[in-house]
Amino acid sequence: MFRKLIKYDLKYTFKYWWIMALSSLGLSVMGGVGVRILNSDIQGDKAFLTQFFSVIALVLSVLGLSAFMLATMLFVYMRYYKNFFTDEGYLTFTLPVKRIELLNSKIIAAFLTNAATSAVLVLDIAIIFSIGEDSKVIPNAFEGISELFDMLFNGVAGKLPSAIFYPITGIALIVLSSLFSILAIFACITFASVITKKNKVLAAIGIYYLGSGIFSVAGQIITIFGMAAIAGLSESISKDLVWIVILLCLWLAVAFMAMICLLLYIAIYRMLDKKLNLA
Amino acid sequence: MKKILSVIILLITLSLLLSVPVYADSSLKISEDYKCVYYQGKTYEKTDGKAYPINYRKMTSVKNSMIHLTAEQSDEIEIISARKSDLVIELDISFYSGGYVSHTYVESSYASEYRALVEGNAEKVFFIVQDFKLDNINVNTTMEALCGSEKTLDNFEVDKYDWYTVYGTDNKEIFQCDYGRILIDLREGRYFYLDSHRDQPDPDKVTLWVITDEELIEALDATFFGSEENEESDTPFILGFIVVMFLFIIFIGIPMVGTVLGFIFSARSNSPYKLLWRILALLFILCLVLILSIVLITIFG
Repeated sequence: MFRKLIKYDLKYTFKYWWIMALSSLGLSVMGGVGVRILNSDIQGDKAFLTQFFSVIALVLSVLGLSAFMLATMLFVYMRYYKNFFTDEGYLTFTLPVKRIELLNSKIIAAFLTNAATSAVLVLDIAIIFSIGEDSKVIPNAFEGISELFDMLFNGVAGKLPSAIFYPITGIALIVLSSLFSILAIFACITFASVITKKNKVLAAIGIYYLGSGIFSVAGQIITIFGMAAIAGLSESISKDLVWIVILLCLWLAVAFMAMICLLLYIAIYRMLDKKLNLA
Repeated sequence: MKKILSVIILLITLSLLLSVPVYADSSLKISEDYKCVYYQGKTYEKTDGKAYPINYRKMTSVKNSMIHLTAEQSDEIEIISARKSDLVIELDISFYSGGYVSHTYVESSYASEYRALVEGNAEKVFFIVQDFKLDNINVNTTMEALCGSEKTLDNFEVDKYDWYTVYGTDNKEIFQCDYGRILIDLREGRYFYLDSHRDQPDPDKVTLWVITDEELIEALDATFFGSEENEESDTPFILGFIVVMFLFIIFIGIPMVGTVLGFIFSARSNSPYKLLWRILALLFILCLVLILSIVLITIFG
């Protein structure tokens, strides 16, 4: 049943998603052509008109990509809200599945949709640059990434056999930050639906802004004190150990993100399990 | 008298007219063997590349129309660009054959000073360090102060150290040359100077200079370890105490409380909360372990 839940959630989102994804690819081709025209040295009477339409094409493509990202998010979060907290909720919670499975299916579907959207957006940007730029932007970007990896590997080679942990840590951080953004919005929607009877969406938006404000202040305080600690400790740290300390700090960030995600997960599940009142 | 004056004035005018084109000739010419450059009546000699100009921002481009090449040079040079400052000219040359060179030339009157710099007899010797407040500090010294007593060490004798590059520069601070490294033994607080140009025949051993100059040692002590009096006057004790307390609360206190609460909730709850709270408590423990590891490595590593 759990697989079916994920299947239906994905089916609902991807019913429209692939149209938007294809449109975004088309728009990125248009944007790339716009950039190419703007980069070329056009002379003559029609130069202004050509450049004007190129700018329009570029602006439309940027707006289109932003709309694609926003619309995907709206699909995912509106589905969560409608399924759980509107009249559909009565039906959803009478299904012969545990509430934790319902929640997990929503989280997994949202994560997969976000991952697919990110992949398409990366492809869009690659298309814009590869069509629009004569220079080797994409190869240069890859070269930059490989240089970064080289630096990280060489920095720890011989001193730490687990150099492979750098890319794994990076992937873990990306996955956890994506999960965090999904869980944060799910938590706001759930909390708003538990405490209010009307204007649940508005309340969710308000809670999201309040929560992100508090979170950013807390984050800044931790960063300031963390920097003070690093400045204090860097006095005695040897250059040979810097790479190990950086790796440990990254692991700390991974553990911290995982902790926050788990706390949000527990909070959402607890509200769905104990506090939900659809009457 | 008038005639004499007229002749003098005429002579002066003529001499001026003759001299101006010589000094106003701003064309840049290169010798056939690329060892010299002639510009505005001055000769510039090619450097051997061991020292390099310090301030590139002071250099201005020479217009390509001002670079006069011989017929042979035009046949072999595809692209050429030149930059100049008071005593330095730099040329970047791409050849049709596919080769590329970048040469630096110094004015011939300055050549002896340049050679002295390359040979290790710099007018000024300095190194730049970052102190414990993360400020850049320029420490000026001399070769005599750096080269105290000679000592040969086993490569692994000093296992925890920091190093900074020592540069030599001329009086006008136009060129700078990499002279060696200052090594700071972080365990025993000793300072060494490693001469980059010195041959080290035995790969397992390294010959260094132990810095014995008291003035330089005092400057190094103040830079790397800071004097206690200064620290006390800079940072009030209460502020330091508050910062340490906050650090303790954020990085030790909260994870500890989280661990305890996680285990308490885990004991009181039923499935699936039991598992979730337990995982949370374990994550708090992991954070604590990582924080303590970072602190211990940076202090004792």
